[in-house]
Amino acid sequence: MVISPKSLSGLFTLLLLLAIGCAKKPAPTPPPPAPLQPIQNLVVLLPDPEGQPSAVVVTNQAGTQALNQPYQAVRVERADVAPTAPFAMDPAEVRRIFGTVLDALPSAEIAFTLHFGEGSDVLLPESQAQMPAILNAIRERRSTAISVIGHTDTTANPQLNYRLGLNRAERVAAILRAQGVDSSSLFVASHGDTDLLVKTARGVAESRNRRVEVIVR
Amino acid sequence: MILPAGRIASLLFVLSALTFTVRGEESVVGSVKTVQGGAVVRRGADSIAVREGMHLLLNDVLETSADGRVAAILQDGTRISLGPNTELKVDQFVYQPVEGKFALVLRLGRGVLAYISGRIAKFSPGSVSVQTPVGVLGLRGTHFAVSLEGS
Repeated sequence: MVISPKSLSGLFTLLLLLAIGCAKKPAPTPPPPAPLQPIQNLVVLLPDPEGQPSAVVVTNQAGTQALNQPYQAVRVERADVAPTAPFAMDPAEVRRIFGTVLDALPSAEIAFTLHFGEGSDVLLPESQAQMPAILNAIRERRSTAISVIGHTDTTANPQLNYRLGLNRAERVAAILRAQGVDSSSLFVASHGDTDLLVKTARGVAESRNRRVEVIVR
Repeated sequence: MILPAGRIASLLFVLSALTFTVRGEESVVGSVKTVQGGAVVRRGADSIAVREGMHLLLNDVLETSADGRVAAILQDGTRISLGPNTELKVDQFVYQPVEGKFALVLRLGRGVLAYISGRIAKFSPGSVSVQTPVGVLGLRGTHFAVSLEGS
């Protein structure tokens, strides 16, 4: 499985909203009149932020329903009552009910790719020049979860490449720490030559594979 | 094809090394981006006030009070936002792309959740579900997966 900047930019995203109330059992006495009960046990599929098709399947012991259009919704009364047939919700109504929760969704993660010379753990100058943008993203998001993942091409053996990838990642992490990023926020790892951006045979020098991914969340 | 014993041993070493990250990334499943009002994380016997930037661990239960809200991002880029009176447990989180292992199970006990999927859903849609008291919400991707696997 390859994680590449390409795949990062084309994320399959699904936005889904649900409001779950306590599973209501028939009350022995009539409940007091409630003027505006919140909508309970509602699942709404929302448009994918990147326009990709997405779907969610709602299943319980009594049945199953699929939502595959934006603003389709189902209600589910109880675990032993089948979900309703999907129905279309007015976007304005979805907004009215869920707007605050929707607005609180965090920004998407942002990924940077830094490059290195052959067999080297020293950043290439144009990658060094990207560091301020990375630090900016970390500060802007007040990120406490930054992955720093080192990669290599296939010139050396896997064991050496694992270590080289790690050295590259550690070099980048050291730069971030020196700029005030807390160690506890940095998740440093090496994928060695197991996660090639450009697929090659063994023993191929490929500059695009010599990289560190920095993912700021 | 016959490989020398030394080659096999070193390959095994590398593969086992790859299953570990340098620091405990496996145990951290996400981080809190924003918090408003009353919100706690139940972690084992502890109940910890939620604060911005705190790391979330596997099996953490996020709980908001009547005035509480929490938003978080998981390590695979999944984004979640919890409304008031909400309880959400991170039941399973496996994000090991090199090994091809993926699983995400969130357990919504009550309340309101908005969700945007991340890379676990991208690579393995059938491995993602949200469990609720009234049913299971499963992602369905553009290709079929064994939907019961890992759930």
